[in-house]
Amino acid sequence: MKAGNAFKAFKNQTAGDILFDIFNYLILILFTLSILYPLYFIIIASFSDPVAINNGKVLFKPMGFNTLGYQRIFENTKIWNAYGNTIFYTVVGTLINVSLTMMIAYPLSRGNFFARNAILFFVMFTMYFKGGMIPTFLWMHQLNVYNTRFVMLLLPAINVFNLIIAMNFIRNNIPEELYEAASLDGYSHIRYFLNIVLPLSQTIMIVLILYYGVAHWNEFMNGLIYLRDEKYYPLQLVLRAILLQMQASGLGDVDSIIEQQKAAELIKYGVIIVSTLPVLVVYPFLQKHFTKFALGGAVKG
Amino acid sequence: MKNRFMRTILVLTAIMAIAVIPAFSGGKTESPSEPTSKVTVNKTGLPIVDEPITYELAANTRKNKNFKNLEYFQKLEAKTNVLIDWNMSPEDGWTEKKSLLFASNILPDAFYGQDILTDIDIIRYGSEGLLIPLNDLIDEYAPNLKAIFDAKPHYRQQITAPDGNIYSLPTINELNPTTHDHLFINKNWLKNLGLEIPNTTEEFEAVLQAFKDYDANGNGDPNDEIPFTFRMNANDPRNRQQGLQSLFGTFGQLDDIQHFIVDDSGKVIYTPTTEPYRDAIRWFSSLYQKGLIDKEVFTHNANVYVAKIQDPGDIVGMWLGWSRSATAAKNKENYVVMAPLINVNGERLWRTVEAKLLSKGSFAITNKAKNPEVLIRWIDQSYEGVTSLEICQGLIGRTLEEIADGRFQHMKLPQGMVLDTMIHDYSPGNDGTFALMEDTIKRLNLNANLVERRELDAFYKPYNVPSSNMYPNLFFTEDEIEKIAELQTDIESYVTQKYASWIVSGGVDREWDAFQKKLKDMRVDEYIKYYSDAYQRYLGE
Repeated sequence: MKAGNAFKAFKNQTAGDILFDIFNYLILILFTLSILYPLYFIIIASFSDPVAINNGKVLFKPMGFNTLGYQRIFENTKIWNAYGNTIFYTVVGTLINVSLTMMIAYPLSRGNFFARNAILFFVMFTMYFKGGMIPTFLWMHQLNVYNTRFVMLLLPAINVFNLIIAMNFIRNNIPEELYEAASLDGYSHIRYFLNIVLPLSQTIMIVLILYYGVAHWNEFMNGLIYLRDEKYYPLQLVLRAILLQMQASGLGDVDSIIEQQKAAELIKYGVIIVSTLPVLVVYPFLQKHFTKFALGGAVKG
Repeated sequence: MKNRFMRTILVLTAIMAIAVIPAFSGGKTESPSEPTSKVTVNKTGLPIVDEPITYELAANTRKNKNFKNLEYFQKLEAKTNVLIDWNMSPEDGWTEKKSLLFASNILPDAFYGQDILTDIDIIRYGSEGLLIPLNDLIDEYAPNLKAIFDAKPHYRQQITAPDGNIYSLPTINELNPTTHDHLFINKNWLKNLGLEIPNTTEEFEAVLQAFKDYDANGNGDPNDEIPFTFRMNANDPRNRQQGLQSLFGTFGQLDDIQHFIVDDSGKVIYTPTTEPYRDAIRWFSSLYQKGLIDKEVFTHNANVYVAKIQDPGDIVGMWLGWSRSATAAKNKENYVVMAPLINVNGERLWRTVEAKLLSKGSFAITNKAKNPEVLIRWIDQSYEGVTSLEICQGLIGRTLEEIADGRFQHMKLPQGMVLDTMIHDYSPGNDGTFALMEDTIKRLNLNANLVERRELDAFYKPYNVPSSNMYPNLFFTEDEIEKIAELQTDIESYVTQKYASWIVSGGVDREWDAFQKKLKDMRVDEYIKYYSDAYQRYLGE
């Protein structure tokens, strides 16, 4: 808030203040670099000669520039299908997540809802005690969603932690008076939810989209356990397989072993780039709202 | 308020209970009795069945393949009339998936592929009756496998569970080397410094000292040489193949990865309780203290290790590894393999690794399979000599070709293709179940990689201890596995930690008695007894 005025007020500052500012910026710049450098390193490492990387010679620019890693990743045709799957799971899955979460968060945010405490108790219970892998597996089998796309969309449909965030947001940010006014105008709960609560909850919905979206994007374990057909595999599963596939088996000739050792190392870095790039691209657009939410929460306590 | 809360809790509990009951009873009413059609199985010849029959097989793949699309399996399907519904899984995560299949009893008809089941799976699920015993089926329906067992009974011995049953079939590859840890020395450095390959501990030390003190690689910097490196990763016992075990032989007794060896009288020995172990550690420690051993030997990972050896600046004097050309790559011409040092008894000893039995759990049939004899006949096709060769080294016409006198050789591959990829594009390869025996290997013209392996093996052959001195890859009972696991965690981590700390900072003589006493307190005698019992039972089988 005062940041804009800081420069105007510069000439009025004492030497101590200026010194403080300089150190302040210096520390912030170092802090930023300590976050950016690892990212940068992964990018240059994915283009470098693995022997040079392991000998610690790659620091600021790629050495032995090559694109072997990316060639190996993208020559695998399964990756495009997997990209498609993951985008589908992320978009549709997040849509389901956010709508279900908001639908349950609204009634739970209303203090006068008769079953509120009981339902909340059941919901919270699942946060601490889970059914366990085997019962869940059997259950998915009996619901006939095993080895279908539904399992990737429905199994993580609601996250209790996100639900609680959404519930608290609605309770703290939408005043009770609004409901009273709306109900005087003849609004039912459903119309009030659709026409007033949802538009006022944009901030929290964007936060939910980010949380759920990233979770879908990185989903690995559910795909591994509940999917059998490769055509349903999400991106992470396929990338992992490509990574492992390059471990030398000792069956081939010497050249293939050396080449694979080299490729395996490059693929490791390449895979990080391939799987995180889309998230890095989308994040800045959501970040504005995200910061607003995070700071807003801090101020209100 | 409170009253209302309790009431709603009760209502909700009731709703949940009602919702849950059908879910449980639903499971029981399942399994509609299938019409039992009679399958006629041909006892010999192909196809195995006249009418096509489908089985579900679970398999895992390190190579990211779906077996359904592999030419090898497509041909096999056409030949045998046995259709396979593959339940594929990537390698990591297979452990969870497997536990789920067994725990939920949604089992496939069989499990296929190297290491698809672990020892404990085989023993546990075998004794529970989920996997069926195959002894009689092998004798009756698997002539190829039976021939292998008759010719080399120790393979049958190794895959027989303690209760006398065979629950799983092996993968055998006799192309595998007998010596896994070769000691290589930089011949250019020896030449530059006017030294000979060392034969005794004194000479060995003198050579390392010279590597350290002088500019052995001739780049003008006398300090960038690493005289001796190896890899002894404390966290993962499987990563100790490039460790010092064989060099312990310099003091009259080898070490092994789990520290268990067998002496000439057939007694099982746990090396950390013996004097030769102490002597060897004392010597390695003195080398380390003098700066003759790479400082990172206990911490660097495989990639860093290999990168040091492959460094274009030629910075390593001696190292341990399984292959000269694959590990040293462009530097391979710099290194020659060297013989073990003459030990205190005037002998030269080196480890013998019987890793020809690649995996004990490579094929198992579950109690769900109808007509298991079909599956046994199906898998027995893979144990036929040339078929095994095709599974392991690629299909004939793709990576192998037949030449005169029924011999085979590797084909020249299309530009830009590497052998390993080509093998796995058509055959299960390293994922598959097979038995590649010496008889078939004799008919193959070996490629450079295999020739090198054989040469290195031949070089160490005179020094290899008899395989009866090495602790074999055998089955423990379920009870033993549990007891061993309980003791092993403490004992292993203590021994490993002391191993490293003695070499790095010394003190083996000062702490030796306390070390022995602490091992006794950790019930090391009981630990040794389980290994010893299992070994005696193994000999008796």
